[in-house]
Amino acid sequence: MSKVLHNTKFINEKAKFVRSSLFEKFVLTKQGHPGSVFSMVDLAASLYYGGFIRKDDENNSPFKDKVIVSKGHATATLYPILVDLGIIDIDIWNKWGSDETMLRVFGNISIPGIDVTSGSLGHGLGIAAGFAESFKRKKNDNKVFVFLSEGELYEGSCWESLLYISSNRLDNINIILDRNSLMILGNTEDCVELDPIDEKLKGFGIEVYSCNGHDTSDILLNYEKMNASNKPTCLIAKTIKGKGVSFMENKAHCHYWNPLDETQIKQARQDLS
Amino acid sequence: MNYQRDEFITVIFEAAKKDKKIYFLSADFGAPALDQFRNELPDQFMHCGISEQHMIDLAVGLALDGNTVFCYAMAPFVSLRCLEQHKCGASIMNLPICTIVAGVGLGYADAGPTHYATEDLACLRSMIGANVYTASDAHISKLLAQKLVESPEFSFVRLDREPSDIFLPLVDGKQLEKGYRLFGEQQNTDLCIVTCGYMYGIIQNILLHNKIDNKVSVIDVIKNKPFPSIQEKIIGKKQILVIDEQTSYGGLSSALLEFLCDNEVNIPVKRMTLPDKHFFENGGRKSILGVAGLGEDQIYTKIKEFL
Repeated sequence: MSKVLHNTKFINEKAKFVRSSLFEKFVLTKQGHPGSVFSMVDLAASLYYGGFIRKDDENNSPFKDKVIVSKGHATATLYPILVDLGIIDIDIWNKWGSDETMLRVFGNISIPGIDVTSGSLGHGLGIAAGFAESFKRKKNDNKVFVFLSEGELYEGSCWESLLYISSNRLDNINIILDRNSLMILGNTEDCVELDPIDEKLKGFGIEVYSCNGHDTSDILLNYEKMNASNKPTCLIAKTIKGKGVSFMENKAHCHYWNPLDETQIKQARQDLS
Repeated sequence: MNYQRDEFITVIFEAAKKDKKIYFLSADFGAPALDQFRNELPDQFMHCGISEQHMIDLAVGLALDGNTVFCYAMAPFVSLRCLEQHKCGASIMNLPICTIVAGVGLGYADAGPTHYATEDLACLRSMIGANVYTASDAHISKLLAQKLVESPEFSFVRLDREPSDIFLPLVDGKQLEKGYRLFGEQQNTDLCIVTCGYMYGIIQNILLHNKIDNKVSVIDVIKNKPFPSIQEKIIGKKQILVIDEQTSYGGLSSALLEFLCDNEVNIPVKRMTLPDKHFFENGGRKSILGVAGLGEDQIYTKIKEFL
């Protein structure tokens, strides 16, 4: 417990840095998905700064463990973290917003530290299964973490992959379900019911945990449990779309970047400071 | 009579015995050669369930970790049902995933239109970066497997469901690299037939049976994309006749027309393809081809028009 409490303050500071860094890029580039990015920042910061993604000292790869942002529109969440960890060169980050940069809203494998090109929903779990099978058959202990949005669960391919993951006991897969309860046209439960997600996942043989997706202490404790499990796991993280910027929180339209006036920009900077 | 699928899988099996990074995935689709593979190399075989979309995504993960992957399923499903998986995976990330598209055209005759792959070539050809091959006999299938084991690439290999003879002339590695084989009389003939896959054997039989193989040249297009450089084989011809067991929208005939256009080759082209309709008839493949306008008599009649 002491380790977790020690990490929490550090991770919260990093999460704040990630949000404010990305907000400035959204303002600069006038594009992005702030709602979806801000809802998963604390989950991503806890994953990397909590020590769950291990460096790869043996191979020509930044990390032993793979991170798949299946909700590809939020891949930018990882950029400030990867810059901070020295994986993405600071010059690349600084050039984001010019024509010379390789960074973009949707990540791809040409970007250091980004393991999968994503953008279209519903592919991450199947790709995770491929990585996981490869790791197991090589008898190494690498793990795969998949950031999934609840909206992705409407894609049937997710459930095909969950069947496979469970059937093949791919306990090196940990799913992080970012449940901010919103998609473009409104609340997920009002559009097409997903609940009870936990029971559905359990029915597919997945070990399910839940947490407050913005409480890093809660997140870290659950990551530890997932890491120790001998089954494929899923953490259902209750999050707030647009978390951190008062006028974006729980607003479906903040899925996409919307033009902000100076007052709003000032307000957002104040919220994120 | 040899099955294209078994010849192909046997090559992959022999290679996989020596290379642990070769994986074979099946969406519940079998073959005698596959039984040997999964019995003797279970660690390199994955049964994906009847889940083509998942199978292709699984292949992407395996390939991203440095493996060579072969995916295998029934043609209509492993092509169209998971088209977006092909695009977002092997195409965008340029991964060495080979998909074996088994049972193209009307190969599943009497099963009906749900099981026909009559637009797969159009769809797969449109995939950026894809290499698309069609085997017209089991010998070519074997050569393609050897090539793809030696030089893995994002590819689709279209195989026929039915066993067939090994057709002449026997294709060698050099011809495979060129992407086509030639049959009939190449010099001093006005008509060139362009075809691929199952239809090649049909056409060869028509020409030999009617003793007109000396009046026609035939190009069997093994590599459908990128389209092979056939200029020197068609220059001087007065007529090209494309015969393809696909619809006219995007299939082999479209590929040829694109080639002629891009290379500014001006030769009249007629197309014998499947019409833009679904077929529910029974009676076997040749019978249904007849209903569709691609029966042997209809092809022979059309050829005679140009002689």
